Amino acid sequence: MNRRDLIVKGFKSLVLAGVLPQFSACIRSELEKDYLFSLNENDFNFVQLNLYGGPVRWMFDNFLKPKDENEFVPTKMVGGRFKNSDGDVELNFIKRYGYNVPEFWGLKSKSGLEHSSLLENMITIRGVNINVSGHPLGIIKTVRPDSTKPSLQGVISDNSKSPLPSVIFGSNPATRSYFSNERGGLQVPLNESNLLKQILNPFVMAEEKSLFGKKNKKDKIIKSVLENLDGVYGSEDKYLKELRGSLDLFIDNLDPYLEEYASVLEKYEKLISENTKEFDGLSIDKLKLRELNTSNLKEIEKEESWGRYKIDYQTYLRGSNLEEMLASADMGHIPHQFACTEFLLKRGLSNSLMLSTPNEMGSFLYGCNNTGNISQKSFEKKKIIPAKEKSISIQMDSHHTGTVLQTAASFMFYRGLVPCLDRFKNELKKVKTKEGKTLFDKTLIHICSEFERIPRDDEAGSEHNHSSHTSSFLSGSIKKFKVCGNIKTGNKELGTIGTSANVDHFKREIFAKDIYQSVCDIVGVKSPVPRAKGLLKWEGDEIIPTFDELKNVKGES
Amino acid sequence: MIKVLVFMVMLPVLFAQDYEENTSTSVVKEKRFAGRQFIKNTLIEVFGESSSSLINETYFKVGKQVGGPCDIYEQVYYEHDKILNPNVECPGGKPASKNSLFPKTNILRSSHILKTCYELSIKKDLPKKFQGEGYLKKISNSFYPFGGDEKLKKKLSKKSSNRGEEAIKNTLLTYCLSPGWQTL
Repeated sequence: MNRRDLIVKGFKSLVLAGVLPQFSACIRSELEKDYLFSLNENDFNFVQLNLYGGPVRWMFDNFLKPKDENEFVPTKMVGGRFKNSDGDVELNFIKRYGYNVPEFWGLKSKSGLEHSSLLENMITIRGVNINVSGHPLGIIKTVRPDSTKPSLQGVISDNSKSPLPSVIFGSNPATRSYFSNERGGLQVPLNESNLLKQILNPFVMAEEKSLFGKKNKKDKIIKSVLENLDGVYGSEDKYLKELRGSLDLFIDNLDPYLEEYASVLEKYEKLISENTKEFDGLSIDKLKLRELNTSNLKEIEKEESWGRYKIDYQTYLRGSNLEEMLASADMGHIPHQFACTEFLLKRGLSNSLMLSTPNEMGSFLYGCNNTGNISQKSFEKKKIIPAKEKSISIQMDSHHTGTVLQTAASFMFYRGLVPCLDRFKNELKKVKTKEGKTLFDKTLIHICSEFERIPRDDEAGSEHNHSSHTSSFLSGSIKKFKVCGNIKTGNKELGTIGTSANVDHFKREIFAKDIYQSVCDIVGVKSPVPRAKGLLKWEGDEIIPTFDELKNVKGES
Repeated sequence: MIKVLVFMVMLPVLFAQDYEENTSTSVVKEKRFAGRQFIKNTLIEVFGESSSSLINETYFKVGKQVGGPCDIYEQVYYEHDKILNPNVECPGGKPASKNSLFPKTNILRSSHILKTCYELSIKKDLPKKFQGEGYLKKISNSFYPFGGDEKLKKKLSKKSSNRGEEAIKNTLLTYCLSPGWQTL
């Protein structure tokens, strides 16, 4: 630090400490004003929470019996709480906003706010048929259904006036299918903890300042250079326009923004930590799971009889250590992505974002204590062999996650996710736009994954249900909770799990491209994907569904 | 017969929207910006070898925004952290092999070139070869050895009588940011 920086910092400290209060507004507001870009009146924010991996959502927003007249056939593994000591699960419903919703929504976060308050501004489209198998193709269908056209975030970014193009967090087929014609995108891997620094570092160009921190001569020099270039290449030259645009993004010092980000991150981390340590609402106290030990191991003919105790393809839950296993778990980069997204939206830096998983593994809980659990080899060797890894992650793609861990882990994840969404929504509500609305009114949050799941008969995991995709939308412009879409009831063998059924209004099932069209319709960009049906529309200032069907139709799941 | 004729006329109209959506022009004209290897090499030639570490940090290592794929198999490690041919670099590793050959201009690429050029032209010491009389011609020859900058040179020649360091640096920055040398 040189002498000038010391004097400036000292002056600012005196101001901020209240010794020179008459200057405080100048210092603070200068920081605020300097890096604030108003949302263009034609732009609309789009944030996609892409749960790549396809986690179970029947306890969350895959509404299987939304109305009393909808037939619901219970099935193994489809539950939101434990029913008895053996680990059977059940899915119970409560009434909220005129719909039957999983009782999860009746729980309250530590702040006292009931989860169902989120439903006030939500529309869920269920029973969407993705029609392809596999994760990569499944998610690409949602994000970029036509491979010759831009992806959803790409088309929004191309039509936007925000300073930065789309910001895509994570690295998996969903994020890698990002494509835009014009503006490119900013892909932010989740391998470093400071996401904001990764995004803003390119725009840091420290410069000597005057004592009062006024804009330095850098801007003057560059603007004069750009004027010369305008005279030669024309002011409409795309490259020159971008140079000019990038000049607005440069900052002298990233530290104040990193401090702001760190403070917001801490809040999200605290929300997750305080809401995921208890399991009220899961009836975990009812569980008296069998303990897998040498004596009962010899009685067991097949490992499948322990299906519901499965953790992953090579490990089983010992029995009594479920809470211990989850006590150390965390939600990875979820708080970081929320904190960064909040910063970027509130400062108007980007209007198209995707939050997703760090890699193809699509885990949703990390750092689960695995000591004491049992290796699959124990069944073969007929003796207890402890699991090797001390700590594991639990994947959203639960092919090998049995009922017990599946239910508890999903419960924990959504208990952490909902308070984050609540905070995010409330923070956006605090920001007013030029038209007198709130930023939440001008934002569409899209919660999706590739598909729902099909429970296995042995309860040792679940498979992909590519005939069932659920998309939930949150926005301040959604004034009423609505659930739309038809699903099949299933039968005794495989009950109601959300498999798509025809929608009379469209004379066909709903497909992924219809979700793409719907988002484009709301955000106000022309969808390049042909022959898709919009599922959402504007009616005045309100977003409503374009159709009103909500049936559980007789048929096999 | 008339009905058949009307139907045949209307048939293309019925599919016109799909046709419009599914076809595009066969020729599209747009600037092709050079990848990071070209930009780095040119800037090193202009500003000297001493600028190479700055260019690496602010531009070359950035990633897919600035384009320029590299072949990771060009690197041969003879010890775990020593590459056989240190002149061949592939920052970004395997994913960098998928960087586009000719990046499209975008705000991120623009911010990187702006920062790089500003650091090199304004904040660093002025290279000796550009000092003194005739600096405009020297700068022009460095960035445009085969011409193509006639309009830019003409625009700047009016101010080139000022031989102060600030004026020379501003000219250097103007040339560095000009798109002509960056496009292929």
